[in-house]
Amino acid sequence: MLEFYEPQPDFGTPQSDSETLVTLTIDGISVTVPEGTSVMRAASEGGVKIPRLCATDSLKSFGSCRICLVEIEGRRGFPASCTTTVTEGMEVRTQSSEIGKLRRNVMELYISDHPLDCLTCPTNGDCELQDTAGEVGLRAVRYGFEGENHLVAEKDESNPYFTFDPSKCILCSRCVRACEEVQGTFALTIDGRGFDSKVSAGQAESFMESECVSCGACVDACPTATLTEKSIIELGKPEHSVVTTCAYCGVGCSFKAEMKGNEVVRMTPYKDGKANEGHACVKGRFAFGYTTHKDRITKPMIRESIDDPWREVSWDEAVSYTAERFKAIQAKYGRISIGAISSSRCTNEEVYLVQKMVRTGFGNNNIDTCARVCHSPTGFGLKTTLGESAGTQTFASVEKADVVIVMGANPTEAHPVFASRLKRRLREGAKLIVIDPRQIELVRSPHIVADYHLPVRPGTNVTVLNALAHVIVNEGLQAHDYIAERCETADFEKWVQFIADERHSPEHTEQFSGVPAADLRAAARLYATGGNGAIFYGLGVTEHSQGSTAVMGIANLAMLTGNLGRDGVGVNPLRGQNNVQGSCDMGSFPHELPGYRHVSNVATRQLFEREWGVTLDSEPGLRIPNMFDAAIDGDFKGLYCQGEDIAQSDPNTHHVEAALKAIECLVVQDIFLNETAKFAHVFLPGATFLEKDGTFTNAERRISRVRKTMPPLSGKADWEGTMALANALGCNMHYNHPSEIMDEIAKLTPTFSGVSYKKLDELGSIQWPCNDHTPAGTPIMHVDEFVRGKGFFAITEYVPTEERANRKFPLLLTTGRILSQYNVGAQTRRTSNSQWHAEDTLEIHPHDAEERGINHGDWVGIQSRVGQTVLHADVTSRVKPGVVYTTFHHPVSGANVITTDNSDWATNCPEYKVTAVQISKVTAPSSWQARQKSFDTQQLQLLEKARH
Amino acid sequence: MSASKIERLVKMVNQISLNMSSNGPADFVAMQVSEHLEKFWSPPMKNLISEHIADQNIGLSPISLKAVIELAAIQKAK
Amino acid sequence: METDPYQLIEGMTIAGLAVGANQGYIYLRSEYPVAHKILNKAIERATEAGFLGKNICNSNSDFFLEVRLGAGAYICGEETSLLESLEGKRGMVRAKPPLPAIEGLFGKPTVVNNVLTLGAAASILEQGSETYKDFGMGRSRGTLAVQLAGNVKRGGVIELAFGVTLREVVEDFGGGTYSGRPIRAIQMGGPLGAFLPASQWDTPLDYEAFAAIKAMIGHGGIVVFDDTVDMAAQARFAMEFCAVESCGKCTPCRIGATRGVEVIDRIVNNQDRDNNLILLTDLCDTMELGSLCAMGGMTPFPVRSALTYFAEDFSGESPREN
Repeated sequence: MLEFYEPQPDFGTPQSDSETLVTLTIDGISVTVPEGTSVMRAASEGGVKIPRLCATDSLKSFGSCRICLVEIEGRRGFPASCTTTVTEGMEVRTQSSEIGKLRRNVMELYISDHPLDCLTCPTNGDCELQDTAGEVGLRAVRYGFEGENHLVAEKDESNPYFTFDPSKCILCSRCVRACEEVQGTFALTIDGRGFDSKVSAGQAESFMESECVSCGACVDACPTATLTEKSIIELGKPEHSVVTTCAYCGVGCSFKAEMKGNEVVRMTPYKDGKANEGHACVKGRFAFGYTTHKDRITKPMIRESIDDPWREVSWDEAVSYTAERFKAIQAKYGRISIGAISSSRCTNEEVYLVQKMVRTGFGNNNIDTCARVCHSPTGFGLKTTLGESAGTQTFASVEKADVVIVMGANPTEAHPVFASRLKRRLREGAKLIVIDPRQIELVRSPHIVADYHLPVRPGTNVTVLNALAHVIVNEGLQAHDYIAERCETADFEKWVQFIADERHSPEHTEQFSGVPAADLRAAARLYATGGNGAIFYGLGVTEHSQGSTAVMGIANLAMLTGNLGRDGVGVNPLRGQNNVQGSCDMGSFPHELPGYRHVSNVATRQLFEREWGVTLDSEPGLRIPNMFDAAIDGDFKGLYCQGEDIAQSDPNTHHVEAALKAIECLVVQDIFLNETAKFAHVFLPGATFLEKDGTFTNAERRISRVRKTMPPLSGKADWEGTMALANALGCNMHYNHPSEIMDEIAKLTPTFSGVSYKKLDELGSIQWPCNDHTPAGTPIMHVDEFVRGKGFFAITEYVPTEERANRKFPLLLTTGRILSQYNVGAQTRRTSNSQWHAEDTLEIHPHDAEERGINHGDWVGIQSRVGQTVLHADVTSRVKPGVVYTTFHHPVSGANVITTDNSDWATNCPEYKVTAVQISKVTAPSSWQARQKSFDTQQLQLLEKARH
Repeated sequence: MSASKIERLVKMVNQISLNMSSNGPADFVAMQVSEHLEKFWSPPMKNLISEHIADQNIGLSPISLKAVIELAAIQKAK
Repeated sequence: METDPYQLIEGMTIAGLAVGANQGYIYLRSEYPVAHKILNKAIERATEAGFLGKNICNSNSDFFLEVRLGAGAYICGEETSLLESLEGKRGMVRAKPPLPAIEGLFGKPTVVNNVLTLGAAASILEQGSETYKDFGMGRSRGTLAVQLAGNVKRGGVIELAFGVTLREVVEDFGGGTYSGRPIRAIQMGGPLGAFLPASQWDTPLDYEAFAAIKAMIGHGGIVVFDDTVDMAAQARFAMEFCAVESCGKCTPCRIGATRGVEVIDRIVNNQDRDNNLILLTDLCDTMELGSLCAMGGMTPFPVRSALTYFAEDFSGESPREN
């Protein structure tokens, strides 16, 4: 929706969720609201605005500004309407001459200590202090301006995205409260007392030096210019806004892109976004500069060989060239010698078109997506046990959880807006069990201490899950009635026999997992008996050789304790990317058509064949790892790779590079020249989320609109590019707008049949399944029965990974993400986020470091059986002895030079999380890094030649 | 250093068999493994492994061998 | 607390049993190290003797008592700041509702009373409510521990029944001023209490009687001033005290108190006196009606009483010796 720029409506205090209603009179108007609502909010809902400064509806009422005072019949004095809750029959007067005088006098005090430079101030026209002074009718400041004041105050411009100007601060404490209540970081406080009070970050440090994570909640909350985006200071007030969805992680926050013409001035979190409810993180909120970075490639390019310079060409020439080459390759090597990799960052419509192009244009099923390397085990595991490959709840559901398990995930880094919700619930008293090799932030952070941290040895997740189940079964803590009613009885009994065996006991499994038996027992009891139990898991569960087994183990636990099918419980895979869920839904799999239906299924194939007008291949195609193997074998020669940097993100870089070099025609469609593009023959310039229309589906199965804010820099949105290529291959696609693509998807996919852009505009977002059965979508899944009917308890035998520590490689390396950078960093490295994480480092325990003579900050070589790289050491006890850890956001780190080709038995999801390594002190970068650097330089030079 | 095509496939099948080995008696597991291969492997992979049933030296585990034999039968029937 | 700590311990235990609380805290000013040591020792002994801890006196009820120290903030005498401080946070005032009785310390229903009240509880139960009621007058029953201070010959703490007049306390018990000069003003109720002129000294020490003359009993603090006192300076001090001790949360107190000092200075220096007098009155109204708690809410009491009864000191002429 395109709207004039207006601040989002603010009702003053948060909504009450009481079911009881109360009716009262405000200025003679009758208003009915839930019990627990403040008088201020009741007035807002009745259409009466009570002036205020310290109240805002994302935060609990505070009662400090004393502007919102009202008169209440039968009560003496002037109660603050923000802290007073409604009662039946209450009579409120919001205006009178007494009230007016009081408000003016309070405002007069405020302005007696405030700069009077409104006309040149960055928030001129968008300032609540200005507005409120106008509303109360302030005319004079009789105190004059000679008295004590805070007008001479140094600005803190340390944060790259916003400025803190204390001279304009009115001490409303909204920023402090936002950092506490909304974000949960507690980085801000009020320092000093009385008139000397001032907002302070960390231990009286600058924002950048403090614990501030730059989420921007304080900037959103600030009613004056004190905390303002630098982009606003520079560019001024936006004039229109577009509601869209973030393109970073799987939380899928809604944002208002606030614009001046085609330029994004700032991204403001959208309060009505159900996934984020007005909150955001440093990436979505501030790191959008990459969309207009100078590295953006805006013209298609081709070259014969990767040693040749690039040649800029028209779109027509590029797609014709590609189509010609692909047809030639197929003629020479066979129908299945070409394939495509679709992007988990592109829209649903775009991903749908890619798999359609492969199936109708290439004539095979060689389509795969990055979910292969992250959550494909979720797909396999949840489909087998519950019947659907998707998270079962909404994010809001965590508000009703009593016991939360976080396993193999680090939400404060990778899903920060969800983590803030989780932390809020934990501060209210919910219990937390963390199962992770590292002491992630959730284990111990402000006002939160995990009840149990089970530091599992990398590669042994299944033993822990089995042990938890073993305890619950052997102590008789399972949900008997639930299981009897909702799960397959025979399979359950078989599974009970399996899990009750001593070999799964915590005492026995401790030797594998390293988790103390007593803690494990206590954690199991807590999950089984503590009330609503919710499990959240991430790639620390899936990226293992037993990833699928672990997912099934998690589903088993949830079924065992009756924790599925209602609010507050569930199995929640934390999907990493903005549209990885969507790309899976859209059939970007070699074995599945859209809607997770196997290609061998005759009815499904016929449905698509009728619509698409071709005969479809009924055999599974190649998965990404198979594509690499086949390329090296000489059987796979053409690849269309959209929005996916396999050269950086897939494991065993040597293997990937060898495969890419063997491909005769590699087509990359992306926004920057990424690592993969350096091996490409055709480069099609991509479009960012700001440049196109479409939809993303987040980890909640929530389909949200992506709306265009500016024309695509390359002249084509990604779907238009794919369509052009598809048509050059003879496909005959004629879509005028992505909504038409969604209409086709809805026609062919039962879980999407009720979805349309019209409905998305009406409802804001829709959680699939959305069909006649559930026309408004489905927040909670498996409510009456599981998608497969009865739940299936899968046997989850522990099979140790081949990747074990030995004398040569005695440490286990595991990997993860950090807040400020996103995946391969292509986007975030091209923004100021690099100020927080300019390089990937290696976390190593002090004992292991000492043994090797390593000090904090030293260069260390990390060697595995497949490769070697070099990083700076970060000596810390966040990791246990025997475990080392790094992130993978910078190509030069070569994290994947070391990772092996071990993978999940069911899906081939790479075992990124376990690599046996040796660490030693070195003096120089590795030979791979030296080679990477020179290759990088060479390719960039070849690019430069094209652009001049 | 890099394994040959068939070595890779054998490794994958053995891994699948090992992970399914507790699902039931050997015949049942072999059936499950063959179904998995049929569902997820591309035709060239299925054909290649099927061609090597007779080869004693490629290292298929007993259950893997049973499964591949069943798979080969399915391929033949197509 | 220093001479009879068990009185307080017993009183708190009674309160705990009465409301069903099993944990009590004594929030003690950090300026009382002797009381701190003694209270801790008394609690230790009481626990050993079975009067505190689990199953006190075989009653099947538990009551645990703990002393926690403040850090020198006057505002932490206000019950909600006190709770914040007890929780280890900054001593900031909380908005009411919710009342501490519903949502108090660590979010739990909490009874907050001062030492005198809890100490009296034991006596009342021991001697019977009639005996206690027999002291005092009107609705002000029992005794008050008056703190007599300032320019007074015989200062100290005097426990009296309500109903004695202010004059009796200051002249009979206190012996008049220390300096020997005539008394000019008496401040009753602590730094936020009104200054009483001679015409009001025959008021009996009774909550309602004092409220009726826009003054207050408060905690029974009395400060005596002789005729060399500069009441404008005293009014200024009231504002200054508020400014120093303000928690800073609400605007009328945080900014108002500082402005109050500035305005009084201007009045006394004859800068636009008339307008500033109006402004000062306005400010007093704003602080009284708009403040979040009694810190800002009652600072106008001394200031207004000085303006009303000692207006001559604000005239800008003939400043008195301090």
